[in-house]
Amino acid sequence: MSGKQTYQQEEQIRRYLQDRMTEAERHAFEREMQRDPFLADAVEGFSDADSSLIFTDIADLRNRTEKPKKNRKFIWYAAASVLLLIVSSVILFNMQENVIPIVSESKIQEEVKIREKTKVEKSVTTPQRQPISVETQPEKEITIVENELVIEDLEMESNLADENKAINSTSLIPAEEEPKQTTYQAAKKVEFVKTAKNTHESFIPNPMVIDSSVAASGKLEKKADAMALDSEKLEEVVVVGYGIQKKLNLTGAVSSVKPELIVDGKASPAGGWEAFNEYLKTELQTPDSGSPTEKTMVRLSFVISSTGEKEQFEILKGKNDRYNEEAIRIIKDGPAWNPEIKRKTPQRSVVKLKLVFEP
Amino acid sequence: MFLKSKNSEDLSDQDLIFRYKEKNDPEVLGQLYSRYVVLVYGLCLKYLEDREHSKDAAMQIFELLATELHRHDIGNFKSWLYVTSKNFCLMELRKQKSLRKKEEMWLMNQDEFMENPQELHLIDTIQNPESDDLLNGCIEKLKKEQNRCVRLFYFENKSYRQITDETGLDEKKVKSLLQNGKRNLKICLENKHVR
Repeated sequence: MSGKQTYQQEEQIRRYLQDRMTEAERHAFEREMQRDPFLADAVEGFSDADSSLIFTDIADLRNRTEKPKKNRKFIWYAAASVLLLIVSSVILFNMQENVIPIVSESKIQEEVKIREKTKVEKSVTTPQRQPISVETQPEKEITIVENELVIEDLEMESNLADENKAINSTSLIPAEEEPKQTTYQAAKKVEFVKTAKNTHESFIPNPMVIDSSVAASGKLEKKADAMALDSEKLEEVVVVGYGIQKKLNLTGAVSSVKPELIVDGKASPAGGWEAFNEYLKTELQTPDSGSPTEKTMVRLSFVISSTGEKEQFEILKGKNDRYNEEAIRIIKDGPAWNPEIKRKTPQRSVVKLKLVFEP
Repeated sequence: MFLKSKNSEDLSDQDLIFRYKEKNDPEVLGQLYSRYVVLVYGLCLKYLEDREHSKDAAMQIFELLATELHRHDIGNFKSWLYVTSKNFCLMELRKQKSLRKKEEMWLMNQDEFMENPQELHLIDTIQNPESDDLLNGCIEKLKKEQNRCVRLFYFENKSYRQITDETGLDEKKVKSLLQNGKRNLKICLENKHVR
């Protein structure tokens, strides 16, 4: 019996029971029943029951016996939806990378940190060569060398003083204050010091002083930005800044701000995310300090132009005006930003930030 | 997948069983059973006389198939299913003490039911029963009512209902007269062949 025959037979049973057959058809069907006791028994069973309910029962039974088929389909649906979930979460995750979470995103911070470290280390390797050869010599000679270097440094300072009279006055005075400063610039410098310490201690204080003092004065910031646009010049500056000490009499601030520009990447605060987070932690003021009750979150976006200007501030999700203003203020007053770099050229880009006001 | 199910419409029971045994695919089993679910359900209704109970039985028989098909080498699935389903209903009846009486009635007719369904009666197989002398001779020897019913049904191609109208007998009586008439004919024919 094939599938088709079954349905024909079912239809015959229906018609027989509902008395919709001609006498000839009835007879033919009864002959069939005489030959097929299974059919005869079934029809006998049906004829004693309510025929309207029987066929709904049969449909029900068919559904249930063909259920495995449905289960299979369900499994496919489940598999498809799981796949969809994975894909969408991946997309979501990628989208979230554009929104730069400042608080509690240690992963990104670590990345930034690593990047910074490698840069610093790279740039330090050149001066490292000198001391290695020096170290093998007797102690006395080392001191002599150091003296020489110190003299050299002093010369550098005087050179600087001669060349940049405008900077001169500010460049040396903040040097004493340097260690106390807790701004983003300082934080980065401390790291630089740590890695540099291994190589040659006498080098460090002087270039550092020049670097950060100029940076703190902030007078060269614009100049630095302008230079950033020209990547060739930029590379030159970096080599000068970190590599050969003698040329440190050029603008030291450039060396501290600009290395990031070489590498393609998103817009980021000068000095790195870690320092920026530190800056936010110390500087972010909760407006209603009278009754701080709970954590308050403000999400905002702003544009970093290709020259690193901060503009078009926008509150995405704010609390009230005072919170919103403080959020904008802290970014405006904060460190300069490096523009997004694509294929080694700076781009205009939107930065989204989440600021958390701790109670 | 859709192509497969389309083709399986035309497959024989044997092919489906083979396929099921090979891949243990419940979908194939469902296809096979759907061909007979009407008959099984009707059969259960006949013996269990209760819709819900019959539905449950039909489902249980389906589940039974999943294991039994592997265990037996089945030549004719339909008659095997017929016997299996009937045995299942018998077991169900046995479980119910209140239905003991029906069970006894059922057992009385056991020999008749256990007849191999594939072994068809001569009268159901030959083309022109009227022209068979041996058969005609035996029909003449049947009792009057059996004779009349067999003639009306097989020679005049009347339906049960028409016979009922013509003879004034109950339809169930007509069926049993036909059944008993056929049995007597069979005995008669076998005796003649022996001679």
